[in-house]
Amino acid sequence: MDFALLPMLIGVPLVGALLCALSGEKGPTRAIALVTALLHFAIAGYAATRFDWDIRLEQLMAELGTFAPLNFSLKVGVDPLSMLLVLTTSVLSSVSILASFSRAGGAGSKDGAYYAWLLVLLGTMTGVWVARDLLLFYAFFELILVPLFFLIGTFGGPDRRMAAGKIFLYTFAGSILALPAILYVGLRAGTFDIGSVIHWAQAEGNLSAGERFWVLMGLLASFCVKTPIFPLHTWQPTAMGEAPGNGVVDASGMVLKLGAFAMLKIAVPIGFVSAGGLAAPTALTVVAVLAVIGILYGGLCAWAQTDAKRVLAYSSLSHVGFVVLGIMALTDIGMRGASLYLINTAITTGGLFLIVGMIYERYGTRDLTELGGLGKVMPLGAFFFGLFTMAAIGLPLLNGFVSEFLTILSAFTSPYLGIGFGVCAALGIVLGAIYMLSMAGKLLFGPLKVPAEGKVSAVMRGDLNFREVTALAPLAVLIVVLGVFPQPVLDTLRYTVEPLRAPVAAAEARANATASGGASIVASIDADIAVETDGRTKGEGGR
Amino acid sequence: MSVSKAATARLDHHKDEWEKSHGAVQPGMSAPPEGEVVDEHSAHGGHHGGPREPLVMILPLIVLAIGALAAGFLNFPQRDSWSLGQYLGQSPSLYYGYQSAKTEFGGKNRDGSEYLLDGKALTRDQVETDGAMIVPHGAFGQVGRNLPEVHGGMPHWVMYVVSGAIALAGMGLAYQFHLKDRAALGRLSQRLPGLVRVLEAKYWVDEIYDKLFVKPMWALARVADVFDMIVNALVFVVAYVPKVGAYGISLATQRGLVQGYAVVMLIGLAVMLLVIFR
Repeated sequence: MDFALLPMLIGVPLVGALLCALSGEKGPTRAIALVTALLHFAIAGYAATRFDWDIRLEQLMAELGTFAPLNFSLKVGVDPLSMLLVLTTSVLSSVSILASFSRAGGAGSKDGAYYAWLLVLLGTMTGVWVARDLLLFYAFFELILVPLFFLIGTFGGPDRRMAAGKIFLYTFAGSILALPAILYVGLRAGTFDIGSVIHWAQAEGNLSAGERFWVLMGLLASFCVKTPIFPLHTWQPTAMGEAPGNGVVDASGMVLKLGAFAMLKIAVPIGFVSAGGLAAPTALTVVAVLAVIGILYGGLCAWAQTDAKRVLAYSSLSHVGFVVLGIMALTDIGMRGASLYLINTAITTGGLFLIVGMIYERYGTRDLTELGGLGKVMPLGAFFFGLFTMAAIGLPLLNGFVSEFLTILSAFTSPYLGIGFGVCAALGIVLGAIYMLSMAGKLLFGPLKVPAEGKVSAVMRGDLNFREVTALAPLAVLIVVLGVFPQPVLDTLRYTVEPLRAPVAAAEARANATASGGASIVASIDADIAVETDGRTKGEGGR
Repeated sequence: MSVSKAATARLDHHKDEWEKSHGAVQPGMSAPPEGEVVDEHSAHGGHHGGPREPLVMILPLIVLAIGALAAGFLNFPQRDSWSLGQYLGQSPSLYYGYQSAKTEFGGKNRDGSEYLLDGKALTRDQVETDGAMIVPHGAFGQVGRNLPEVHGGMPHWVMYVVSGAIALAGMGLAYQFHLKDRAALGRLSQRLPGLVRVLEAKYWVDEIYDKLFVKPMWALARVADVFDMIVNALVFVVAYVPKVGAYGISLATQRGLVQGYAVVMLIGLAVMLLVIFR
């Protein structure tokens, strides 16, 4: 039964999407969508209980078919990070669907299409997290663009068609360059199984320096656009600004994590790391520099915005900069912090987008110059907004602090980065506090300022209702729990991170041992590497 | 609140008496609020106390004062029984941080050993060989080792006396200027207008910070926003190139003439036949 869980996590939303499409505007579309999302969450929760969080091996493996000529298989499985991302996606999707019930229903609402595409997005995102075949991963990585295109293009803001076209073409153009890299390395390795490809790519002599460089460039072309990293980021504020109020939660919450996830799980172990340790120091430095620029640049741009959604969009650019910096540090705490950051920022940014959407539904604007003092009329909304703001700026005891601290600490202590990276990243935290508190201050405090009634029906105005609070409460709880007690998550993420950086860790240990003259220690490190790689291969044999 | 003429006259009289004993109201001083009935005893006897602060302001101060005394008592390192310092010294972060610093920069424990772990004295060589012992591997606040008791150092009597004297001097000044002779503060401020201006402006820290940091950063933010528009425009230019190219090609090939389409189809068919039957 365990083998069926992951395929169900992909299939159930797709079936739900079909039912929503058939149900259309007149049927119980919203109920179907919510039930599907909750069912997805229930299955993900059950899968989490079947998952052993204390071992390194990938679990719940399933293989649905094989295409022998290419050695391509429909293989799925999860490790701790994937499992956590599946759970986070599930929670965010349920919350997003529940929050979207404030959409005007009835004829012309295109409810069927809206919820169908939301569920397709859920299914394809789950596919990315659980795919264990490179081609399958790539397929889901690109398939996500389809529901995004229709969600933004059909239900978005005034410039929705331009935004939809931009996100599709921009990210697709990058991914076109990744496909040859994936095909090359998969065909050379004789398999597209991710673990086996990584093992082959890291082994001595399989990939020359030139080959590894071009494979890495191809992968980075796609992943850097999808993350996004400065200067390949301009699709993101446009897309996030035009995306519909509550589909944005999914879009911003999880889609932006795809690129960083791919960088961590594929680009780093294949392109950056080889048997001898770090294989592409220049590329690593360049990506790290771009990440730091993104942190500062995203923060400055966010401060200059007057549209609350665009503030959050640029804030996401800054946050993913921290994630990439943690990954590029190639240290244990950096990569674990970056992994935790993926989850934390999805929750926090998702919650902020939700509340901004709720404010927009009431007042018909997100312009910070037209709104003010909303804390007087929306005290509950102000509470949630304040909580999510504090989490976003990294206040201790909330989830943002833990991951920010770890990524910055990793920048300081990484042998591949250094103090300069850490200092610049720390400045990014200051910028984060500036633009987030500035936005919160303008929106929530001071004299009450709202547009004249006429833009939006007065019926909608007022504080959050029970449905909206129900949507926000799980996120608020997660923010506090992950902030106060992140240890279990950090402990389990070790099992994801250690195999990815094993050769680098071994090379560092060898260098330290050689420096202190311990030949026996070097031998034992090499023996450990043999056990490590042997265990990883056994793990991918299926469990 | 409305008051009778008699009460108003009485209030005016008391206000005059108050100003005679306290001097005219100066910035930073608080005059009795309008409408407050001041009893004659306090109006005539200024040194028996000025306006009373409300209880909602006094009570938190009392609580804080008690807390400060309690914290000082608990933190006193020479206590024979449990002290806060002894408790905090059990923290792995503090303990291992201290030991790491000692190892790095030298120094000995009180018993003369260079490094102390779990009650065992180790030499520097032993520490460096087993380097992982300094900080537990993968430590994220793990607790569980049997840590030795941390002993407090010698108290700094000089600092105790100096800081106590400063505190007492402050209390004395506050008593003098706020309780005993409020008018003296007014006279002092009139003799030192420059100092008063500096203190009222709070050393212009906010203004300096705004000019040195906030405004330049805001300008940088605006520049970044404009730069982002330029980068965005470049993306549109890149996207425009294939559009123009495709338009040009369509102009050349999509002429609307059936003969043209027929010729292209025949050429395509010929190519296919050549490839298949080559």
